[in-house]
Amino acid sequence: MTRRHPVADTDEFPEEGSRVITEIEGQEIAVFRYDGEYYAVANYCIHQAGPLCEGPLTGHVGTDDENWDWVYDDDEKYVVCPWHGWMFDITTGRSPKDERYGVPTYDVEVEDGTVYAVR
Amino acid sequence: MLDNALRVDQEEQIEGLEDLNRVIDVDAQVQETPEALLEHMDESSAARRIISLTELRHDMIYAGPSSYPLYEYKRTNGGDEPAATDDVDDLIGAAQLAEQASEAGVGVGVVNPTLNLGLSEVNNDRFAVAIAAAYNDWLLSELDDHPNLVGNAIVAPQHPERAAEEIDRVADERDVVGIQLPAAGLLPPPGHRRYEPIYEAAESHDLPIAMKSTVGNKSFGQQYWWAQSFPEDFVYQHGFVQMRNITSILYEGIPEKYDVEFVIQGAGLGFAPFLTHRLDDHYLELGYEIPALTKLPSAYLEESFYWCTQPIDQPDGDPTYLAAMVDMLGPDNVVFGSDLPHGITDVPETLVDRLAPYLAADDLRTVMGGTAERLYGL
Repeated sequence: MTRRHPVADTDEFPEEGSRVITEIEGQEIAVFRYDGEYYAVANYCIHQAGPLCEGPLTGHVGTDDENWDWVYDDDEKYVVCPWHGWMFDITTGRSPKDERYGVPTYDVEVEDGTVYAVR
Repeated sequence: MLDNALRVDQEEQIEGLEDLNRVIDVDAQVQETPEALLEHMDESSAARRIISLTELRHDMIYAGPSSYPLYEYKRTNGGDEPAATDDVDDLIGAAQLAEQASEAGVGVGVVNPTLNLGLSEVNNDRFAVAIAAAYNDWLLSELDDHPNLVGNAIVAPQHPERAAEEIDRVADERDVVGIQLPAAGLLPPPGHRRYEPIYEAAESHDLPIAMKSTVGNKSFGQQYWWAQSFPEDFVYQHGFVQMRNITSILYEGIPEKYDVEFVIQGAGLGFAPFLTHRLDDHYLELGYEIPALTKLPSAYLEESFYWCTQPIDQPDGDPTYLAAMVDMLGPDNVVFGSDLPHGITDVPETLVDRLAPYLAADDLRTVMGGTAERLYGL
């Protein structure tokens, strides 16, 4: 059965990209503030078990419609594992490089200035 | 342990070659000579005129010199006389190949060139275009009387627009079932945008692209020039060239743009699992510089790349490891090739003997001909 766990007060997320890493029932989980919302992701890289959410947030390099020019999308919603650089979308947990790859994500609730992760 | 994991029940195995459907060899070769090809160039062709006046045609037209001191087909095994029957200067046409293929138990051979696997290294692009057309015309004349042989038409990578026109010219020939894009010495490598007319033409005619390297490939790295013998070059040449080419094709996103199937010849299977993993791993680690793909490189490889078995990898004489390579790559992506008529030929029986205990009958039939049948519309 899932239940919600307090992670931090909202004032601990002073700006876009702020994060808090905590441990819930033995699992390290990071909560990120992104685009006015909160997203919870396991602090665990599926590649070699690195501390994924201790890495930077970044945008993403894609291509234009003709698959020719390289285009940088500066929407910084991808967390990059500090160990080997695998990256995941913090809003979905999926890899932007292959949708079959992903890390666990958790629902987040905000109530009375407190951010909760649901696990 | 590996043997236990891979071995299939006796009743699921084939009993021998006679249990197979038609064996298809995706890597048969003729051995064309410059003299034979000159016959298929117009009298008015300056390429014909200049090549015919060139004394050392292999070394001077094809700018990759043979390794010193002994080229493989001149090998003597230490005696006074050449030991090989396929001296590289001799012409081996379709008649001789068809006979050898038939003796080896090959039902249909997909024919590739020998000399012109080095076509990419012809410095003069006009000559390269002329040689490609002459080879294709010569090949078609050779194949006419041999229903058990079909062929890959060759293209000159030096001039991709002319290469695409050449594909258009020969694509409807009954005996043309694919394209050979000579893998050795492709500068720039084949993921570069300049080659896109070739991929576009191959896609529009639904012709798979075969790629095979050759020895004496001067373009592949400075280290080649320091090979002290033929074997020192031969050990790495095919595999390394294919790794460079496939990496370029994938990371530049060619399979994302073009629906083309690739048949990778002459490098065996052993390098392919290694390459597949490296491609995937670096794609996930360094993907910000590989934006053209939308899924793992291995997914594209599984969809549209086929690994030719020749030369058979036999680590430590234990066929279990060979079976494990087929298992890793998937039997749907492994295709039998012989390299007939050359001295390092693998006959069907050799491969079947080694794989039969480890592949279910249907999977082995797929390797020995089923996939090639679909690829080449045979």
